[in-house]
Amino acid sequence: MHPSGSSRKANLVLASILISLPFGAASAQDDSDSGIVIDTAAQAAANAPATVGDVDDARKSTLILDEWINRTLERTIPKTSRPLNLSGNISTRYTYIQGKQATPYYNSFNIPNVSLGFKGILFKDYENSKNLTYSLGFSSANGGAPTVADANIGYSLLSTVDLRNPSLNISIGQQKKPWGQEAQADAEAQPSVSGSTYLSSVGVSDVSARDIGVVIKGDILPTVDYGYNYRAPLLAVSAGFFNGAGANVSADNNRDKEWVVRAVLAPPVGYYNFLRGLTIGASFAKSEKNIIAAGGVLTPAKTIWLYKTNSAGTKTDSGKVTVADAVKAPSDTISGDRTRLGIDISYIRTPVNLTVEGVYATQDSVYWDKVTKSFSPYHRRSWGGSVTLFLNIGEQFLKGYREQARPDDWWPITWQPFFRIDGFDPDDDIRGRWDTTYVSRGAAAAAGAWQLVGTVGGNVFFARTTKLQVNYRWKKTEDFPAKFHETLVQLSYGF
Amino acid sequence: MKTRTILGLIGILSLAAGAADVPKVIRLGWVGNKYDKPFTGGVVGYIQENQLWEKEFAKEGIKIEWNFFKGTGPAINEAVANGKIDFASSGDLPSTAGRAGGLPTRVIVGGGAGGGKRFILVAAGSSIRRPADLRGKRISFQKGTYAHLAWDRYARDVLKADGEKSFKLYSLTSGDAEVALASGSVDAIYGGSLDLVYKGQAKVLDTITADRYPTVGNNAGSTYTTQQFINKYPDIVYRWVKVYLKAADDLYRKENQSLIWQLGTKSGSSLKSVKESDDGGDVRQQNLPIFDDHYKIRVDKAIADEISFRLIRRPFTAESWWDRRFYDRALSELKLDKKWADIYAWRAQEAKKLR
Repeated sequence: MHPSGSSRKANLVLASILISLPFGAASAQDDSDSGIVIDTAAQAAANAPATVGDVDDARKSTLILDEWINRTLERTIPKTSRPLNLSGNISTRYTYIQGKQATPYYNSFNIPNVSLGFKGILFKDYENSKNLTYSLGFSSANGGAPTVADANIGYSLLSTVDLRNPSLNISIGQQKKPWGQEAQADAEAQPSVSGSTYLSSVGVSDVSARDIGVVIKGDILPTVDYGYNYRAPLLAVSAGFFNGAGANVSADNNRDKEWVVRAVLAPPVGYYNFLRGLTIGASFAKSEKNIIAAGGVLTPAKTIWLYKTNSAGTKTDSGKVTVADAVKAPSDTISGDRTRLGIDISYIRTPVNLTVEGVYATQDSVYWDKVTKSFSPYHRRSWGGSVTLFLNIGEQFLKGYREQARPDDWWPITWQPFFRIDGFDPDDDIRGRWDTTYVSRGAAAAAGAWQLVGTVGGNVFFARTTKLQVNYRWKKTEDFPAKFHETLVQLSYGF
Repeated sequence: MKTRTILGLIGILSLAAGAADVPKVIRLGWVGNKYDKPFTGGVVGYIQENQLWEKEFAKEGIKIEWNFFKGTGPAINEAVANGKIDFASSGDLPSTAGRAGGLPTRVIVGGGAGGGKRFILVAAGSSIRRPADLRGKRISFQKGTYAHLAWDRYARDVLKADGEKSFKLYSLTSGDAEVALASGSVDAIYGGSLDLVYKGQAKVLDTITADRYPTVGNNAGSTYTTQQFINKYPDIVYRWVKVYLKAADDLYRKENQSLIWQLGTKSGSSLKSVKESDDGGDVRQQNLPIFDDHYKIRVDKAIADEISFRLIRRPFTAESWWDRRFYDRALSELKLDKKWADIYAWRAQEAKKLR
């Protein structure tokens, strides 16, 4: 009976293991005042030549192990047709919001995010490392149904063998848009649980999200510091071409495609230079969006709050007003152009780190004009920005340090305290329309009130893929006297 | 009585201040190995095995933290740059590249004269028969390490080629490189382990020794601390160096050859591989750590070659990098200057050949 192919492989592996065992590496002991280590009797025995019996024992052990490995491979080891790297991340959070609450009660435990990722190589180019890769990821937010997050295929157009060469990669499919600093940042450069307000608000959230399209990323003129195997390109550019309809939308729902471009400049310095980690970035996106103006009885409530403003836009009065007639509005869908511009500066140089980002966005939109009794177009302008100062105290982000030979499941503890202030004004001209639009206080806040948020907190990375995060957020909203206080405690862990 | 009390208090305060003048832990950074074993060989392996630094600093309660970096020299530089390591050792390229880039390291002990044997391995079934056949082939070593400089030198002096441009270079750790060679992903490894040969997966294409290829085999790794650590704890540095030199003197004796080989196996290599990687020279001549022209010339030549290969940009000299005070004092106190006089004389002769 001839051994199978897998059996022969297993034999080879076992033989390799047996051959490579350091038979002579048993312990030695200090046996003299001079501190010289001498061989023990056991050491001498270990160094003795193998007998026929020893070889026979080894052969039997090999056969037993061979059978065990083959059985394990067949019955319990999952198989894939291509190399696979499986990863997942789970966040468990407790949120406490100060003050009076109505249902839903926000002070609760929840699972805000669960994700599962599959990555690998479809074709490995041994000559030039121009590999063909894939990425598939699913995520679920707050217990919702899992949706596809990433589904894309990537290819390195240039050889990545030599660090001194430029790089160029293309990826096609559903993926993150290459826009903005914070939206792209990993845990080293983004310490807070919640992103800046503008990333999840009307006007900008779409460019920090995922979409279906093509992304080309490249860089030129890299500085290579062989003392650290450190590479920093002088200019890195990412350009994306998307539907602009968002993730998991089967067909485009607007006439134009979305263009996204991001460029990042880094000084040409070595690893130890104080300018290492400094980057200046600019992002731009242009797209079209379908604006659906809902019809029906829009306003009024019988008694609402009204704001009065003068010609300069300054609020002069407010009060309860009774509106006589309800207005019946027809529904309408209007195409609007959108632009998003972001400028950012980052200085990620552990242990002290600083990121600053400014955002300006425009969007053609509509409002209900009570005088003309129709939807009227307007050019909405949004402003946002954030400043984050944080420390990385520990070795979590020092890759070379983390990769150590240690006898146990060692991992260095890292502390990451931070402070961030961010703000967002989704509509810098909403007051100009308040006199002609029925807008209640709540509607005003939702439509265009600015927000200013301060966040202070810290993260503790205490195991390889696990961190505890504590954030306290304070939020002030325009014309809302009550401030918003929120405390988040989150355990984020993965594999 | 009052005066005595005051003096007593001053004394206690002084002691307390003195006690605070030592680190809680001394953090060491050493090159790791493909077997992920937290051990090393040579004199530091001997010190580790016998816990000599632990014993030296035990009375002040100073702990010794051993770090073995899988990323070898470049990873050690990263740790030093971020203030995570107090004492370290790495090959000539990473240590000089770190210094050239501004890393405030100071070399505090000299170097041995021998580089041992290094091997260029090709797959067992490879059609590559002689070193000249390597031109245009896929060569693997870990970039940024001693092997990177050695390969560029080998290509220049032996193959008469540009090490960076005439070949396809793959930066892989030693373990990954061996897997790549066995699977046919690369054609040759510079600095491969003989264990791969014993497994029947590779054959030796060329053997590098200082005698055979002086410009390639004469590497010059460095053991160093940082200027900040010297400024803050000069006495600790001195005692650290003294233990190092005493251990080197104890270990590097002809009668300890077997022990030296055994120490080499602690990082996972087979005894056979360790023995055959030894260049067979006199144990003391090859290994005693000495600050002299022999070491200086090798370091300066490494810097010059790295500049010419565009591996570093800013030149400097070995002497400006060294801080010999601790070494010289310890050498004198241990009377090793007299004991090692024959080695100094031998190296002075050898240094003439290096010029």
